[in-house]
Amino acid sequence: MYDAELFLPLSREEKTDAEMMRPSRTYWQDVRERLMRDKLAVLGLLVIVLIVALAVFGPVLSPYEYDAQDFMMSNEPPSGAHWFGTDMFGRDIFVRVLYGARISLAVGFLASFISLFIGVIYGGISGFTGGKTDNIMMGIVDVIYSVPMMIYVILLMVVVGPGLKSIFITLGISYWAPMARIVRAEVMRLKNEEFILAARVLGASPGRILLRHLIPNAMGPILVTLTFSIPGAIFTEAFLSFVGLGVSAPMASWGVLSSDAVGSLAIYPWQLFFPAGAISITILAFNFLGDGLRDALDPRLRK
Amino acid sequence: MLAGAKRGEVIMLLKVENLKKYFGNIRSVDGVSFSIQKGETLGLVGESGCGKTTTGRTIIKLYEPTEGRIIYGGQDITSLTPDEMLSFRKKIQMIFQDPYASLNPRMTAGDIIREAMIIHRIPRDEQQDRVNHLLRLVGLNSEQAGRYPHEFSGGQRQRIGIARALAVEPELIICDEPISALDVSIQAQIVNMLEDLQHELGLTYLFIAHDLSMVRHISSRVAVMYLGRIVELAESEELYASPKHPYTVSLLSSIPIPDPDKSDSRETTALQGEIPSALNPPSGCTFHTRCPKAKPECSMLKTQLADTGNGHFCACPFV
Amino acid sequence: MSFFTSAGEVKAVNDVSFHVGKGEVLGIVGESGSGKSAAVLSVMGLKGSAGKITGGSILFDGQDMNSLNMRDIRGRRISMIFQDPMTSLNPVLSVKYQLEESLRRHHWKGDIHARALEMLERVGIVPASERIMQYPHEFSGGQRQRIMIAMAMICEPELLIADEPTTALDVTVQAQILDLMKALQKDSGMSVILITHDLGVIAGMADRILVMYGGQVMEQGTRREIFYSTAHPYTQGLLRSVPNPDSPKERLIPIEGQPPDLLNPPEGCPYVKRCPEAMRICLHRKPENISLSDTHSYSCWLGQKGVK
Repeated sequence: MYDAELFLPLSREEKTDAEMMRPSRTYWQDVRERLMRDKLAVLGLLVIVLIVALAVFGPVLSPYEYDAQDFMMSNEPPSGAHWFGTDMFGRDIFVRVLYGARISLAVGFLASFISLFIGVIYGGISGFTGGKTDNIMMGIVDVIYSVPMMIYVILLMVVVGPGLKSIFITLGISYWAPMARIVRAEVMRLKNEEFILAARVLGASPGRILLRHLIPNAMGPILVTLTFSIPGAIFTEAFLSFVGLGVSAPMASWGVLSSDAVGSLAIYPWQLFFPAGAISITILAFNFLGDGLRDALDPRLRK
Repeated sequence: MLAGAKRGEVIMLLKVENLKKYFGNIRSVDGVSFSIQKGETLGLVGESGCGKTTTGRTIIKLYEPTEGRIIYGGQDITSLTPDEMLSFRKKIQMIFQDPYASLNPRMTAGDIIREAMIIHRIPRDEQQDRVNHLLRLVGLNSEQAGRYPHEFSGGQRQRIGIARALAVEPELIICDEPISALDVSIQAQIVNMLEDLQHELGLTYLFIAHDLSMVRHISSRVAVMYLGRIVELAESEELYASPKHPYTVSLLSSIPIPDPDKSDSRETTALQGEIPSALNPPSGCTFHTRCPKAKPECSMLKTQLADTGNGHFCACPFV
Repeated sequence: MSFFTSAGEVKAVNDVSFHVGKGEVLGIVGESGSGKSAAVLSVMGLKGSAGKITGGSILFDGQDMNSLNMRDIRGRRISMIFQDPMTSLNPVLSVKYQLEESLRRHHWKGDIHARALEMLERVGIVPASERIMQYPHEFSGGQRQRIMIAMAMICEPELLIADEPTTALDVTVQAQILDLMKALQKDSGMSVILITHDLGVIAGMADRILVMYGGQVMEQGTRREIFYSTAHPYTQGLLRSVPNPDSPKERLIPIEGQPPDLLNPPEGCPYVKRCPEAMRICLHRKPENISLSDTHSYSCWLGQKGVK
């Protein structure tokens, strides 16, 4: 019925071949693959890349200067020459929105990276040390968190005056607090895991445990928080500029452009529409990306 | 000082005296004393919450002892500072329970093993050879050094954990339930490997577990813990053949036997109730609330481990 | 039955057939990934959003389960207890509510409260009339598992499925729970499927045993047939890898190698890579089932080695 040949014993090699042949994949390769499968997140990422590229190269390529006034062409509607129309001084709104993107994005990224830096170190130390130190450090965060941002703004207006500098200081003071809380919570969760105990048993220093073990494993939530904090900072800058506490003319941020356009909203609605639209699209894109990242990093979805 | 000892001579490697560890009001370890000789395996068994894991972690100074002394190779290490402790970290190592939680998921197997060498300043050019050697020692191959923990099976991960502990060439390894999270067929692989490593490298083990039949297999002596205290300690064969303490008797009769006929013919004395809380342990002999032989005076008795001959210690005075 | 994960289709159970007689305790033994739970979860129609039954049928009391209303069957005629007593009870509802809920749902005829008290007393939670008002956090792990058993048995089911019911418990508590389950099964005459990885538990509890590996049944037979006339190399390996109580110091004989990768299962016998007896034919062809007696059968090419 069967060939006797088939009943010969298997050699050791025949048994061990093809074991562990699946290609090695790191956690981040997995994350990237899952992220790339999320259509909204990819769309968000593409939009962000496009906006950044336009902000960097757009103004150079445009025939208009952001502060070049042309009174013959004031309050023009969108056309072939001026894609987004012009404002009351005849300045090209397209190039001003692109130029505003530079300031808005710079504020968003810079404020978020400062908050990342301070928040991760502060939260990491607080969570890892625990006990009294943790109580005091988190008490300070609570205080910073509970003071409304407007109070910092008003104080800084008096001391420093309006402008980019006070926006950065405002964001710098208040933005790292949520990041510190998230990092602390992650570190608290991880620090009793057995691989941390193993590192302690080997004699690893606290700094080494924090940098080599705790923070790399908290990177997921840190990245998500960072992604969500960028649009937050952009919006805050827009808001501060809108109420007149931000950059001043002829510099243009999206908030300033929106603010300038409000007066003539009834007659020239496009002057508000384009900068406000830019803010919305950017914030939406970051939120799509943040949502996608959160799903892609969620260990519960991992096999 | 250890190296100068003669063959066959009994050397005390670790001595624990009246060790206590309280977490707030929880008396996790409440006066534990024992010693381990060089080259032996001391089994430490008990049910969850009896303090066996805390005992292991306190000895290796993951927790600060509340009271008592830990003496290693003749030197008191109870109150060493972290810097002074570093040289002892090379001598005492630990293997953990959960092969999924005990390896950093963001590091490769090679980096996990290499970390100990970096901390203890082993020259960089020696590191790779030693990583490869250690991987082979635990039955893996050096091509697997670049893989991440999630690419290994549970048994393989436990092997990586063992290689990490061996990287500093320790004398004593505290094995904290090293096989309880593994499948039956893999448990035997790991136990055999631990035994082989012990012979090859002259290791000493403190083997913490709740699987009494595996502890019997691997240990030369066994200590039984209940509510933070050792209730019985004896040579492993002696303990299993003629247990004295009523708790040990019930514990041994509760192990399911993988043999239908023996299982049917066995007299079981299922213990009543469950382990009381360590927050508010019973007075006197802490076992009196569940003991089948309890007498009225047991609730007031101050029990202590006493030698009943042949190195068989028991905390119950009525045996 | 298959599970779909992000990494692909995992075949949890492949061509598994078994039966449970009335009043019988069927033990299913296997290691993690053997498919022992998946086989039985599909009986209950509980397989999660990722699971899918890709073929086969399940008969209960002579009827096809697909034609029966699972909501009526589940909890009433077939019930289940799970491994973790800490998460199986709802923490915000009293024990009384949780016990009586099942009776109400299945239109129990008679005094609901009296039945709940009776059951609680039967599983050894006393004084039942006081303790029934308490919430899950007021009970210890062993007591919660007793309550789970009371809930599972309150509607007098014909079949109880116990998925690793004592794995999370300490040995002394495990012994209590096993004694209780044995007594309840004898009294009520119900059938039990006991899933476990513990050879000791299965030796003491089961009438018949099913040994699973890599999603397939390797061997089945009565408890004595499995332990004393072991036929399959996997079962032999499993029994050898625990210490022998008669000579505990003897070196263990482990099963070499690692469990099979379920994403990429071997074509032939799932045990081929670890089997000391493996032959060429085992690599590519699934072994046929060989009967040794009315109750004892195994799937292995060794049985056909001499056949030409």
